[in-house]
Amino acid sequence: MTTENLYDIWAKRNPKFETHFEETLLRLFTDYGVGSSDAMSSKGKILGAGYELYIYAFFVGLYANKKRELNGDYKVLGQPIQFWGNLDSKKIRKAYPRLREYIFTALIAKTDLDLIALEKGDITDNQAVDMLKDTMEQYANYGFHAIEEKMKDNPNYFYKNTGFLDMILDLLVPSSNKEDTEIEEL
Amino acid sequence: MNIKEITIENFRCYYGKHTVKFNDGLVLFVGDNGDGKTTFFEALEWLFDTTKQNKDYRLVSEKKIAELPEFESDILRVSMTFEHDGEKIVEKSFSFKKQSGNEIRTEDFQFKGWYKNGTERVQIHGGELLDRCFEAAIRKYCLFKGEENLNVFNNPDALNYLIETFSNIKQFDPYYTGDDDNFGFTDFAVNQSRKAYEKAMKSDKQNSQQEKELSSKLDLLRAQLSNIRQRLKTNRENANNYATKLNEIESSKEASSLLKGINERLKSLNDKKIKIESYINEDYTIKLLDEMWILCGFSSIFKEYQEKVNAFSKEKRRLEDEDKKQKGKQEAYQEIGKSIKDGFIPLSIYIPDENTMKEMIEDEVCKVCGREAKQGTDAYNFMVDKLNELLKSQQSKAQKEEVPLFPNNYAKELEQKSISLGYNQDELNNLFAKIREVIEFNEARKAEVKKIQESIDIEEENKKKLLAQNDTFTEEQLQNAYENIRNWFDYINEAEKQIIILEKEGKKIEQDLEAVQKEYDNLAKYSIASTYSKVYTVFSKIQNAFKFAKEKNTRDFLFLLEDKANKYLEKLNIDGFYGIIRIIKTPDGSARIVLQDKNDTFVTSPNQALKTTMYMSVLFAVSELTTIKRENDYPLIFDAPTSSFAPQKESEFFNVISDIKKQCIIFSKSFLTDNGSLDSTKIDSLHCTIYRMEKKKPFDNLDLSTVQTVLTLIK
Repeated sequence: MTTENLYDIWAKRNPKFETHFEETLLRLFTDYGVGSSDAMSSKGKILGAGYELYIYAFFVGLYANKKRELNGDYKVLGQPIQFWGNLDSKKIRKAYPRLREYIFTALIAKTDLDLIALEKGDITDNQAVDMLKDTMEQYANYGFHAIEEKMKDNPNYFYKNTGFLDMILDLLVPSSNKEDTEIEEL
Repeated sequence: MNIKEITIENFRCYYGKHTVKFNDGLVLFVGDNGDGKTTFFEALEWLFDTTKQNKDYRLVSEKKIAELPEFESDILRVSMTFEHDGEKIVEKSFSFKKQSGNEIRTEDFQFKGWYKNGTERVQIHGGELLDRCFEAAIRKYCLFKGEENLNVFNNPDALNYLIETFSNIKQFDPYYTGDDDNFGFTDFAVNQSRKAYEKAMKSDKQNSQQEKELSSKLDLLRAQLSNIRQRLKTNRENANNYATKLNEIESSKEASSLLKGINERLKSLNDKKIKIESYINEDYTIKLLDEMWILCGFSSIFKEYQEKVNAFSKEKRRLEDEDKKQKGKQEAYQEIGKSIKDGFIPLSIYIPDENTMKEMIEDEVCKVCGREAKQGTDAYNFMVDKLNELLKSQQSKAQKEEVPLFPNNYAKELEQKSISLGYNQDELNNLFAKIREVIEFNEARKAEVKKIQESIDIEEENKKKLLAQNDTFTEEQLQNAYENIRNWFDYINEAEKQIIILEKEGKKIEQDLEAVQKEYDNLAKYSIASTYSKVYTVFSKIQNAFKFAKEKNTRDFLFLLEDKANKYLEKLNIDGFYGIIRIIKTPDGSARIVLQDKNDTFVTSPNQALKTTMYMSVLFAVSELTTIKRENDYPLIFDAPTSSFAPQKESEFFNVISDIKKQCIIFSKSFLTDNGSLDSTKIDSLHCTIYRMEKKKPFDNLDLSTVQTVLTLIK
């Protein structure tokens, strides 16, 4: 009988992404590869650690309800999921550890995982977590591609204050009443 | 240097010879407009100019020229006796001759100096002696005409000049300049060691491909960075130049109440704008994570999770139930099977228990019916069989417990998450509303700011028009002046915008450069270039150490200057608010003198009197520092510095200055009554040397050749 929680096993993992996104997205918007730092704004980055863009890309895929398998070379993120959103050293930011749990519930909901088989021990916990991670990676991969696509149309899109928010809202709000939430640029 | 005596002869309104003696403290010259204050000041300026031979005939006294017979000549002379490691004299003169037709010819320009060598008087060139005792760097901080010119730092080079002359940073020049055209030792060493390092890297065939890529990246980045720095420099200079031009115009209109009104309104509008802008927080991207706004569409997914977990849990329980039933049935069947076989319901296999059974077998007695049961008999065998059955049944039960249907219990974990996260459902459902609220709040503030900006634009437009105004201008000239001023404002705005963009770009390139350099260095680690790389790194570190030390010296010097200036400011401001002087070094190397209150708030438009005392305090501080550094003092000479002072404050102000142990020469029209005579009560209250300057009466209002100044020692 297993003593560890499924969540804890999952949280120890480092999800992977297609290598080329490091140059085109992660280094552009985050401190990925630079090491931790207090003041991301001093470097002109919109987000902090690399995983922040990963989370964002994951939600883009999740809300679009579209996955995309990883192709070609891939890399793993520097920090395992269990540290995401802790941000202990960053004074200007607020920690968001709870978000990890929501991501986990989404993966349980969206992964075709036979929970009964898991409970019976027919599937090992590691196999189950592999499946969850795979779902996450595929959603995030779709998200990364979608972000890249958006930037091709409008290279400035994510440099507006509302850029990242708009992309999420566009996926969720039916276009008829989008007017209320979408922000006009001054 | 201490001035002992000044003689002026035939210099403009100083007809004939005038000698004034000076002491170590404050000497005040009091005179009305046109009485010769500025002329005296200009005579000194003329004497102190070591750069050119100015023998312009217009310097000659009109009265002297009028009196001079045809073909006769006379002399114009200004001389100064001063103390500087012994008594010294400088004298500048030229002769003038009246030609036929009253034409004046000047000739024989002389600039002489004398100093004592033992008892012998030695003559040298006056300019040389003056430059030696009263160097040009110091003269910048010595002569001041009017209130507007007191800000020594209006000249962009002034601060650098001061720092270079009086702080210790000059010592660093042989080692570090940071200037590409003028290398110090470490600059040179870094440059050379880098070249050697890069050469060694290129010669290493193993890494040649990577080296090529990285070094071309490095070259490109360095070129970009140098380009950006150049553009930054140009933009800063532009912004500074146009700002100085506008400042000059503005200070010439200082007294205009219209301008004051506009400036006040602009200040209040800008303050309001800044305040409202501070409420705006449009970090929506950060809020997506920190405030978990990204969960705004999560409700349906969480519901899906809950449903899935519920179904799973239900199914699990159902299966468990079924399993239990299945097992229960099997046991029951076994029991029932037995009773059918023997025709009666036997005792449970647990009765008697294991120990009793063993005891009975050992004693060969059935203690249930009280009869013997010797080994080999049916009764004995019955007991042994029953014990075996009991042991077997216990064993199989233990085995059954080891293999349950569900060895894991993830259902519990998943259900707990479902419940604990479920508490926040309301918050998730309300996220859309919350996001909209924040956006609407920000939009409303932005609209307010936009409105304020419109008012600011209107006020600024008025200001531009006002600054362009000049009574003597024609309509066309006025239009041109306005266009100019408007353009200057635009240039400043544009330059400032560019500066922000370039600084950002520069920072990014610096980072990229650092990263590529790191990669390059890593490549060197295991190659033949490794030693060269280390040498280069060491020199870079030494260069940085010099750079930081130089910066620290500059900072320390400015702090010291600030500190001393603030002490004078405290003394010179008799009462009322005075604030704290801050000297801010701008990135282009020039400086600004500003006032702050104790809460670090800038005093944006101090009144002129406060401004004057602020600048004078800095000048006193500069003078004190130079005295310390050079072990030699020099005088401060001001022409009309206190025009904006309230009359009752002036006496106190001058008394404070006379208490500062410092030779000061001030020309002023204060202490005169309305009819132009001396205000004796005020004069009595002063404790310094005072000379009265006035036009000798009678004179013809319309004839300059009748005007001559007389100097009288009052006290």
